[in-house]
Amino acid sequence: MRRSIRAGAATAMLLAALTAPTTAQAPGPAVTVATVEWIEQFDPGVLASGPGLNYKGSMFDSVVGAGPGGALSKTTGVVEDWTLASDATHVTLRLRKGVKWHDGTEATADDLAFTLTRFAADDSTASARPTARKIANLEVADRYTVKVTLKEPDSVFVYGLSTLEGDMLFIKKDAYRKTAKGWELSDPEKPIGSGPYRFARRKLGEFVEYDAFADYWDAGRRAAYKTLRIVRIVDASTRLSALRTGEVGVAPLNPEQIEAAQRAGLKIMGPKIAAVPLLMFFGSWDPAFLTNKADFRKALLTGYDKKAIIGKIYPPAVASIATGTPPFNPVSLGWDPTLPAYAYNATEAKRLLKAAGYDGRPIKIWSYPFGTAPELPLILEAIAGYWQGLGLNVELTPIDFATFRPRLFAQPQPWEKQYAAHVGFLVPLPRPSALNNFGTFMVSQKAGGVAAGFWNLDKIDRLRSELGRVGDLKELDRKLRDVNRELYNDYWADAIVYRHLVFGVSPKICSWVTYDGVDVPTTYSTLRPCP
Amino acid sequence: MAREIGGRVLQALVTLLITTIVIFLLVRLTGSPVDVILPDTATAEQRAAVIEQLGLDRPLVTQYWRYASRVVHGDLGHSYTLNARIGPLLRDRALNTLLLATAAMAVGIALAVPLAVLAATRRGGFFDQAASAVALGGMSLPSFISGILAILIFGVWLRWFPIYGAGSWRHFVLPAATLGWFNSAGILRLLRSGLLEVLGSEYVKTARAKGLSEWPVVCKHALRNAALPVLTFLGLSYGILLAGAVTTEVVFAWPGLGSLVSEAIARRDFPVIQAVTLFTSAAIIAVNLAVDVLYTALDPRVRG
Repeated sequence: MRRSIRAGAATAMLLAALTAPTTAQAPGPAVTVATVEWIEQFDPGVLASGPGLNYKGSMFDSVVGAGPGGALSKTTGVVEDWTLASDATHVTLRLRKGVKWHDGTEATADDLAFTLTRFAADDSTASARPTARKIANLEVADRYTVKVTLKEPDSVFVYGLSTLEGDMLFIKKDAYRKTAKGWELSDPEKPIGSGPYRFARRKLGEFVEYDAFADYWDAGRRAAYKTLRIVRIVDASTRLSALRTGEVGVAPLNPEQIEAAQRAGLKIMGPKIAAVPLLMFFGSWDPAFLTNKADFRKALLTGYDKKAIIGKIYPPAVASIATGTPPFNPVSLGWDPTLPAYAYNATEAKRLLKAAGYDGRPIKIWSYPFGTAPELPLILEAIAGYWQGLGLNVELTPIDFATFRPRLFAQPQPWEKQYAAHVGFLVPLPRPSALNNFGTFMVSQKAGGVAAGFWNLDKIDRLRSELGRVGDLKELDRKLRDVNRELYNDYWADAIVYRHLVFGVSPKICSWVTYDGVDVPTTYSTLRPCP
Repeated sequence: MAREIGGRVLQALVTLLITTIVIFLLVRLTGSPVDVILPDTATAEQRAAVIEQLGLDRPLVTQYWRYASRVVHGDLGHSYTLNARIGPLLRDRALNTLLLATAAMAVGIALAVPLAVLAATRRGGFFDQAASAVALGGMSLPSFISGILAILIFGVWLRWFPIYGAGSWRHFVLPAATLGWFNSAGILRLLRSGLLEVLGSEYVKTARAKGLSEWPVVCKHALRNAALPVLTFLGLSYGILLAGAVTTEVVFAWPGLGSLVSEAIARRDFPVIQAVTLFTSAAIIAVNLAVDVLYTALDPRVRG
């Protein structure tokens, strides 16, 4: 009898323990942010990009800051002012006074010069490396001033120092030691930054925790939560469930989860225009492909109903239809809001195909998902359907991007000639400078380009070089508008959508400032709990 | 017996050697990690520099020799993406997976053995039907469905358990139950059919004729013999749990080997994939070796 009572009591205790509800996260002391991708290391010079910024972005400052509208800011980065020489070959960077490292020391121009040096090093794999490699000489003029001499004129060099265009973060010289091919952190487990949060602890594979940095230089962006905890939850339904139970406060959502999230009382927030998928004609500079002809490109780009496709695939919160021509967009220089999206006109497209001498050769579509836009294969399937309706012979090849990518790096690029065209998506950041996207996606490999996606490489190389010499940004903006209109009539590529990032946010969080045009919102210090 | 075990150990080492070669070659067939690692702005020059830095420009034989020599000296290499030594990383993750697999195995056994005994002793009755339903559910529901259901019911609706991560015994419950249920199905079916066969055998009839009551007959005499094939199955399924908990670990964001290797595959982090595969192969081989030894000890008929 006594044994049964004991057993009963034990069972009751066990049940009580099992049925006790998990504590929901209270605002104020800690906020947990879930991420999908991360790279668990603290050197911004190595493998930073999106996954790197997810992990460590909150403990570092941007070299040049960003503003909410996707523009450069002189108030949110450690560089408080910059001047560009009229010939665009010299840039003077002025470091803000009073920027403190997490160890209490003050940041100086030596750190700024080192940041640029580390990002340019041979072992750097950051996306800001090409920007840093443009530097011919660095001079520390005084405690807060660095003078930069560029190898070639580059009017938009400063844009590359902002997280709007890459992943350059401000790093401390003393935290690194020299290696044969570059630099490494002296103590990888004790990283030092100057951001609003400082590293506290981590467990590989589980979490990283940051504590609020009370001495952060920008009082307006000091952390409202004592602790920021970042966890990785790959499964989308688990992320939504964790938001619903309160175990995480902020988590990225998939487009199809938005409705359920809103029904559960979660807020939807996040930066707009985080990525702009470009439908490109690879190798169109080669006359062997019909995409070298304007009529053929126009036929392809007016041969599908973009509005109908986007309307079916995206909820309004996730994307809006892209207008004009890439690489221009609402956050970039040279943007012209009067240019509409290419209008669907099947009859005209058929006529143009005939005029271009389409001979029935297949069009090769390379279909792969991207991290910031995993739905791209769906869009390509829809476009392929429209093109087949025009009488085009379409060959759609599913592939993963990493397997496709060596084609872009190869010199020369191996586009098979039995096809009338090679088509696929690339997904640049909106990059407000516009010119840096010219560099990566349009110009020739000879001129330092990657995709070489423009149909006339001599023309685009020349344009890029000329525009890079314009030292006055207002003048550059004006000139870029002219170029924008010219490229619009070239039908060189099509930006399909402005893809936004969508985060589910706990109802206990009242506000969060994110900057449009970035693909990784690292501004977690601006999360504010509801009173 | 010692000679037999020695032979098995030798076999295991050869299997491991072959596994390292196969995995080393297979991962390289997927393409270069550089094409995953580098940002969109990377140029061909930068790509070439990183390939050289990672040593991927060297002949395959040289790369394998360097890898194998390091492994022999206990060095599993350096992760391309984490910029960290793999040894300590693997130790933490392996421990988490071992704990999860062990908990899942315990759940599986705890669920399957009583149900199998009840099902076999009350053939065609309610318990038998219930056991069949449990087995069918466990086998037919993939863990990414049962895991999500468990999260929804016990995490979101009832708020009994945390739904992701590790850190306390409460974090174990949902992933261990999900994996354990799946695992219990096989044990249950195998043990039930074994028991049915044994319960009709002559020695069990003799035991009953000697006046022993039913439960000692079942538990002491029948279960021991019926458990032998289950033991082999447990060895195999423990290995499968170690290597195959990927989906469950991803669903519950469990920081184990499964989530580590899924990240590594997505990023083509060759050294991590090789290390995890080597570890899981070694674990499976070791568990099966242990089962063989145990089997030999339990069943005198298999001794040579």
